[in-house]
Formats: sequence, structure tokens, C-alpha cells
Amino acid sequence: MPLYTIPNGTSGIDTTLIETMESVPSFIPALFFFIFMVIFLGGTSSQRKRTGSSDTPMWATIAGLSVLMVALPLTLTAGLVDTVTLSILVVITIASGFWFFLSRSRGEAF
Amino acid sequence: MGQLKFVVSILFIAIFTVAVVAYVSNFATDNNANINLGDDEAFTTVNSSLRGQMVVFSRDINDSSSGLTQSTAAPAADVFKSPSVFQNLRFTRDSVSTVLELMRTKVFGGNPAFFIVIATISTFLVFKAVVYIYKTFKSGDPD
Repeated sequence: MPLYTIPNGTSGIDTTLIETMESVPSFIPALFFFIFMVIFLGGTSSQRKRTGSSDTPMWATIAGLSVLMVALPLTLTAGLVDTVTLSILVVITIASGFWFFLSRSRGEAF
Repeated sequence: MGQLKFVVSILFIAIFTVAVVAYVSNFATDNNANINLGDDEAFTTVNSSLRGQMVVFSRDINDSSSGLTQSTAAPAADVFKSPSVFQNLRFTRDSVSTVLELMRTKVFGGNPAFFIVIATISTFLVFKAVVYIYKTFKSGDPD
């Protein structure tokens, strides 16, 4: 017995992704986490390299919005993103914005 | 962070929250998406309550503007009472509690662990405040 069902690769990438998601339910959340961390860590480290300091709340907000932009097209088809995952994504983006707007110091523009 | 900056930050947080929630739910409605954030009652409630709180904030601002232009100061008065829009902070309190409640229900599922996280962050902020006060008292420069 195979560990998971091999997806049918001849009927379009959406079917392949949905069948992969059925076999490995954490596939899409892990993909979102990967995209978030690549943008977040890449942005903060490159900014620190260039300027000596990094704006962590700003990069968290950018990463949250970027993941949200990736997640929205995936909501068009059933089976890729569920409501709970999308809700958590939206709330993480809002929390990043919360952190970002409160982190602005005096004299610093939005 | 001054008081005006704080109120503006809270206002931007409320606008940002309304924008994100409205964009995601409208995207689903416009494109007939299978997963629609508008089906979740918590988000529609947060959206409508934040919009209502911003209307209150707008009314407070207009009242304060009228208070500034139409106020009078009696001769030899000791105290000049300023308009109260940046004093009662009703908008900031309501909108922050609305956004935090959304985080609690959606990320933590109403679990009390959220309050542990908030307590930890609050403790850290209090610690930073105490250190700033101590440094200011000792050397006169908090940084």
C-alpha cells in the first residue's frame, strides 16, 4: 500500500494541487509559511545588511500581504484553502499591520 | 509616542483592518470564489463595528472642530478646556478591543492562551517603560 495517492498529473495543475492537498493536508499552509518566512527573513536581513538596521514590523506586514495575495486566487477552487486557513492568514496580516502602525516612533512618517 | 501619534496609529489600524477584510470578502463575491470570508460571521461583525466606530470618531472630530472655532475663554480664566477628542479615547479603546477580540477568536480559537501572550507583551512593555524612566531619571537621556 503506498504512503499516499500519487496525483494525476495529466488533468491540470489545479487537480494536481487538490489531490496533493488531499494526501498532505498541511501542503498549502506549509507553502504559505514558506512564502511568509522567505519574504520576512529575506527582507529584514537584506535591509540590515544595507542600512545597518531592519524594520521588522514593516517586513512582517509586507510578508502578510504578499501571502494574502497568493492565497486569494487559491480560494477560487474548492479543496485548496479552507476558511480557517484564510481566516488565520487575514488575522495575521491584520496583526502585522497592528504591530507596524504602533511601531512608528515620533517624527517618523507612516 | 505622543498621544496624537497614538490616536492616528489606532485610526490607521482600524482603516487597515476594514480594508483587508473588505478586499478579501469582495474578491470572493466578485469572482464567485468557493471560499468566502463573508460567510464567516466574525469578520462581517468586525467590519461593520469598526465602520461604526470610525463614524463615531468622525463625529467627535467634527464636534471638536466646532469646539475650537466657537469656544470662548473668560477673562482671567485659569484653565482653558480643550476639546475632548484626544482625551476620552473612546474610538481607540473600542477599535483596539475589536481587533484584539478578532485575533483571540480566530488565531487562538477563544483559548485563554491569548491572554498569556497579551500578558507577556504587556509585561515586556512595562519593563521597557520602567527602564526608560530609570534611564531618564539617572542620565536625562532615555536612549
